[in-house]
Amino acid sequence: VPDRVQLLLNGLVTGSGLALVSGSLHLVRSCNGFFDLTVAGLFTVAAYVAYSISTVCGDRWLVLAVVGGVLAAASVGYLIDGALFRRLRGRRASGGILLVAGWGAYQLIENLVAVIFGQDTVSLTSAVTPSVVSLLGARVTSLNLVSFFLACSAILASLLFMHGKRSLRFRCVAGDPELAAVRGIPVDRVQSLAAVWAASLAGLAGILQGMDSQLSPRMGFDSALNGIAALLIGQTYGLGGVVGAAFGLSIVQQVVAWMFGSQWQNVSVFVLLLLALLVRGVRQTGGTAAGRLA
Amino acid sequence: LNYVFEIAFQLCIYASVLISLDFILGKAGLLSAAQAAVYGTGAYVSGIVAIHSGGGFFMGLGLAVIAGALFSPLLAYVSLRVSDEALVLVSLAFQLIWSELVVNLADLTGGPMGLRGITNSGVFGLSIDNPGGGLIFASIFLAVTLLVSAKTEASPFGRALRAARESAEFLAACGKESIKIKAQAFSLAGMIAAGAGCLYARHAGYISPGSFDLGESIRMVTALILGGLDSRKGPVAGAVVLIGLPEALRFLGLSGPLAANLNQVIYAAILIAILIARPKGLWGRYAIK
Repeated sequence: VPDRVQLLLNGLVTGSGLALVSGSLHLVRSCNGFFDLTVAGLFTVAAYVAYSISTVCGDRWLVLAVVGGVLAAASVGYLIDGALFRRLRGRRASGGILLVAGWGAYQLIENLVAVIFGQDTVSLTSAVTPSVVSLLGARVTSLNLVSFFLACSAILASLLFMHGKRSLRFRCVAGDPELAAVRGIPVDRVQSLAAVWAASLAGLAGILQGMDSQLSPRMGFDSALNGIAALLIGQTYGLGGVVGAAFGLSIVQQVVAWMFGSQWQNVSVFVLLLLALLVRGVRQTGGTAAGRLA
Repeated sequence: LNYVFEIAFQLCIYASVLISLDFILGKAGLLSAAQAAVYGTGAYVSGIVAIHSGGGFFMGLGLAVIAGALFSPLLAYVSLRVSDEALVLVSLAFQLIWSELVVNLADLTGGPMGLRGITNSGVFGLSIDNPGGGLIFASIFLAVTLLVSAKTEASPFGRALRAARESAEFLAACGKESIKIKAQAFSLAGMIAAGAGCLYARHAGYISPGSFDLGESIRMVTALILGGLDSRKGPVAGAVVLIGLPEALRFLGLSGPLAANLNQVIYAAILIAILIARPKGLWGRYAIK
């Protein structure tokens, strides 16, 4: 039983981070109509900005680093949306073009981070020795608990953010931007708002992962891939479905690692994704962002 | 001279792979991020045949082409069930599963360390594992690939492929199934890419998963978009950029991880600039939608 509780707890902790990434991808997908791979870069940017702040500020790092990192990710997300995606959307570029452009922006960010900080891994929490907490026979660190509650708070805030009239606006913009503009909805502002909120979630996810493991310039990519898998599996049921899929995938990964070894964790995610796509086919993945939002 | 031959060999191999990708991305209009896996399948099949059964070049090439022809339709079967935009993500999942399998099935593939000692008995007295011989084989392969591309372009299949790209409904009204035609394009592309992989493995004598990972797939897509889609010059121009840029950086005195990162920064910047300013690339006749 303790093993199972440990697996569940580990799954919940890693799942909360993955839920932030998949939620971020879902926001952009729902409002701006494409899979935004810059999320992976913003994840990394926030973690490294937090690392820089923690290096400079020492003991006062936690709050400052988190806030600074999230603000940095939001700013970079806003800039990329304005300089790149808005321009392409203005030309009526498809989701495919936006996806490729997002990949380009991600590559730019990842490699610039590598040029500035180097390829070696660094630690965000080297100065902190977290205490170990026992829960139902399983063990988690205090940092894990802080991460979990921060992530859950951000997810709840996103669910509230996507609730009601704003959700309707997002849906209108995603469905038909021209008609939305005719109806008086400030399309660019709504799309930028979605991009900034999504960037903030991705940034927070990057910092939380950085608190648990080492930072590397490539750290955002694996999370983004798993996030996309959760998005594709759960998007039918809105943000709640995506978050649920993220937790589910993380728990499955923990079980697979326990049973077969950690080298099969990623394979399990993508096999599940392929199975989901095979079973559901075109209906759930096609079209624009017509899915429910919250 | 060996250095020039080696660069020319790589250029021919990449140009062939990009031509194969152009069947999917350029002619069929489907964005696939798994071409490096298909290319790698050919390399690994050929390498495994050489190491475990001592198979010669033609046996390796034949089995690699068959493997490529079988692998690609498997990808097509899943990919064509989803929207065009989700296709890239499905192909990406395929690429990642492939990479993980190659790393984890170490008994067969050598795992992360790769396959060493892929030997050759030589063909018609010519050895592929030296720079000159390799270049001759790669040039012949590129010439055949260009010929296939040209013939396909002018054939009913080529026209149907473009029609499927533009409008599946129109093609259906003409009595043809777009999915079947796209699957055939995947298959043809798989055969060419796997053949190129076989040549690469036999020439290098050593292959590792890093040569066929997701980054490689993305670099191929990027290079093809830069060169231009649905054209004969585009893939060759893309291969020149793909091979030429790292070499140019090396001549500037940059090497190692920093050069690799700068290389990627330049690729990404060019890609973004092309998408904004010139969606059809340098010589393309079609811009991805």
